[in-house]
Amino acid sequence: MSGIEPATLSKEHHRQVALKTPFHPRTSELNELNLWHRWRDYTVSDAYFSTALEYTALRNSTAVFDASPLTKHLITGPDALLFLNRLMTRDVAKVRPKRVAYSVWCDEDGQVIDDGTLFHISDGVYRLCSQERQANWLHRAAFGFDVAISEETHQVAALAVQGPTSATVLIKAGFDVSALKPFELNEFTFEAHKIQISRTGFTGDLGYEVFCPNPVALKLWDQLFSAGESYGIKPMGTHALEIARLEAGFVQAGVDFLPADHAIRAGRSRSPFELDLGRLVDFDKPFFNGRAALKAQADCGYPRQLLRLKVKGNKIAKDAYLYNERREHIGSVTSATWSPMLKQSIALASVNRELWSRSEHVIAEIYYQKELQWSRVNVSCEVIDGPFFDPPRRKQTPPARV
Amino acid sequence: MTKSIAVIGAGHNGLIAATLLAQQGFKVAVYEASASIGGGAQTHEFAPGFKTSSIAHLLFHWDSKLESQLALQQNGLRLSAPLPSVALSTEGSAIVYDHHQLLAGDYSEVEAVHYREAMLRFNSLAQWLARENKKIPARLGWDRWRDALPALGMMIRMRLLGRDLMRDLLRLGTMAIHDVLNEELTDNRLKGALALDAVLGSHCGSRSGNSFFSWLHRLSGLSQGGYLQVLGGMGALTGALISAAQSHGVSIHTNARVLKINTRGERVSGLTLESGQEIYSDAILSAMSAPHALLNLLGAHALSVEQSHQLRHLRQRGNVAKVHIAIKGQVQFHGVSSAHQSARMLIAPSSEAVDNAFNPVKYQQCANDLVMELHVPSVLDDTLAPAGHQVVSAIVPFIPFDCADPNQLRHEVTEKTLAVIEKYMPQIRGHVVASECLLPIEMESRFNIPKGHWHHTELAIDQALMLRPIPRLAQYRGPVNGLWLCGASMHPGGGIHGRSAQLAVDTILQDLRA
Repeated sequence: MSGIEPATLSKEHHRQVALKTPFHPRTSELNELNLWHRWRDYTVSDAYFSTALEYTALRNSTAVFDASPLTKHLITGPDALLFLNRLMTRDVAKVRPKRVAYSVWCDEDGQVIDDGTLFHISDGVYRLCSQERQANWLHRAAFGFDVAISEETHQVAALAVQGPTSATVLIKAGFDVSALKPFELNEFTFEAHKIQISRTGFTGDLGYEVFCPNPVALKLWDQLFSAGESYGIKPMGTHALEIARLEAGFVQAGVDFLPADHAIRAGRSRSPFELDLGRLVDFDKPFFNGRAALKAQADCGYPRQLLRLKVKGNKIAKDAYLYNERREHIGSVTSATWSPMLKQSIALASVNRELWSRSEHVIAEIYYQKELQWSRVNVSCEVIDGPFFDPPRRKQTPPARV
Repeated sequence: MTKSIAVIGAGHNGLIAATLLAQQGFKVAVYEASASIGGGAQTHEFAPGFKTSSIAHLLFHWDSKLESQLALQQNGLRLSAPLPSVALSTEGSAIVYDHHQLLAGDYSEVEAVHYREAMLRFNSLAQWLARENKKIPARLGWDRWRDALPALGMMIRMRLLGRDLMRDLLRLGTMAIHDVLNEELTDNRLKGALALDAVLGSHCGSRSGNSFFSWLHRLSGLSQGGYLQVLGGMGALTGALISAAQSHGVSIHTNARVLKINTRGERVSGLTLESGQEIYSDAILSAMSAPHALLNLLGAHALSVEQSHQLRHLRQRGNVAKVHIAIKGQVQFHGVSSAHQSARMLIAPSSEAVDNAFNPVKYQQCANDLVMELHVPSVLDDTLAPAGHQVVSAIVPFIPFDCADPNQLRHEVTEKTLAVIEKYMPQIRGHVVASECLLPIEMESRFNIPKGHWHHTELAIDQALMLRPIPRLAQYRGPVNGLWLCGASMHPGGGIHGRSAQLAVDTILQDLRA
């Protein structure tokens, strides 16, 4: 087993406040607004030219998001499957080669440490992508398993190519993805390097994620952008992605739940059930971390619940306090935005199940500011099941071509 | 239907648990890796006609209630009266003491008063620990309110010690024995012997933090009745345990090393032996060390990441060698009256000497001036040596577990031990007929004691009570259904007393009858 191999980091890397992704020469050129923020070790764009127009590209043509800072681990070895099955709550044995699975992993109390996507690249070779750094936990979990874990965050570049014309753009760029079903992946050879393209994403739209070794990253970018020129390809920053992921109803570690290993106080972390991810917990598979605690939750209930809310009115319910019909405080909003597709204010929230039942309205107390004057409004919210926005094109196979 | 229970390990804990379970009507089979039964409680012949207790040579946590519960006297157990301890000295006379007072020697009157008063306090603390040692430890968790009760009970019992004693316990609990003794006493001979008492069997010196707690553990055992010698050696105790077990229908299988604890779904299904044989069993009680049973026999795939991480980082570094010497004729310890030649002898000129003897073992080396506990069992027990001859059994701490050349180390330890004993028994060299040295590594290879550690895992405050062996497993329940744990690595730790076996059996009965 090896830890991080900073092959691409210079000896002076510690002098750099933030690293630049392999796409930085292009993204910095395109970042007309000069808006940047820090994502783990890297500098990434908030927005390039207009959050609204980048989002529009995502929903109408193709938007490209530089996802290189995503934490990536390569997991191989004879026990890779056994190892992953003990780690994760879902049955990894069902994730066949060339398939991708969204999964969570928990501590022994059944509290979510992180969520991520597991790419079964080829038989017994897995790539795990996560929001948080997981090397320590993975190595700790590897004891007793014949498995090799290496972090490849700094060696592998990642692009999310998302939107209705994304399949067309990729095909024009020479990658025939027409046969890929959602959560499938394929390997392609590009400039004598192997790259992986999967039909996955964080936008709830038709879209693909491309993983390539750093040396061919810029070439890949150029090839995609030249192929996509007449299909409305645009770079997309984190702000537009945030709107899209909320419309898709996806949770984010550190925002909608506190990773269990960061939580100090009891009750601050969340179980998969509390995040509406109960479908990812499989009690018929072999033992996995947190099983007993999760079984108890499945049998006896769990204290909190994630809600997807359509918020009345035009105010964004950021950080809003939530009440039940008896005006008892039941929880708060964790993420909120204005949904351009729904023309509606939407939010993800965490509420106390003891104080709220499905038949009840949720009331959000929203504080907002107009010309430096703070006001408050109480609005009722509609609780919905599933994503806010889920176009048929997301699942349609073969994907629509233009 | 009668439930079958397989017990792994025929040490005293395994045998005691097996008998207690059989008494409750379970069908019990015990599986022992080696050819002989008894683990750390055995007697063997190390030279023609000379026999000795193989590892432990005195009882000091003995529970007479267990003795009657298992009818051990009817099964042949004979114990001596409580034996005093002797702090040997090269000059003047030795100091004879027990855990209450100084009994004989040329100590000052003031020292005797200080000792008596200090021991009054320490014994009160030891009795608190002895009470805790008889209880299933509290479970640390926030999810079940009833878990709070045992923890609350422990705190209340601590508070009931009164203001001064509770303050003592909280203050002294993590201190080094060296500093505690310096607060109370001045006589180096006495402080040396007590410091050695504190650290025997632990991987710590007298100046190591936590060594007072290790002493308190010893005192908690002594409060049950002092040091007792088993007539016939420790093997005779095992003999009585075997006969008690068999009288209740327990079957004991030797040369039956368990390789795997098998599971089906969420519960155990049985054992796989080294021979390849599979044993089916409704329940399993492991008397092995918890890290071995869980990491090696059950396997990491059945443990949580947290459990496997904690288990493999438990401190378990044994450092105690045994040296056995066959003596032709009679020799006596210098400065000790004939009446006390059967006592437990301690060679440790000062507390500093104990710490100095410990220091090299941190770096896998063996000090020149060793400290040790000696016992001459043949004084009270004429079955151990031919008439008119003697056996000396020496517990020699601070011998490295890892060694490149065991033969060379064995020779070195024997020579150094004899050189030390010679100072207190000047005629011994001329009387030695034969000797034997069992290194810490042989405690593992011959007696299956992991890392040769008396307590399987270090008995320190961070690995004691509800933290032993690790917080989530401190209630004798294993991580899978149908598996329970007892043995030295479980609360209250090592020593020949079978307390963990009793508490594990209580838990099993509670769980199976629930």
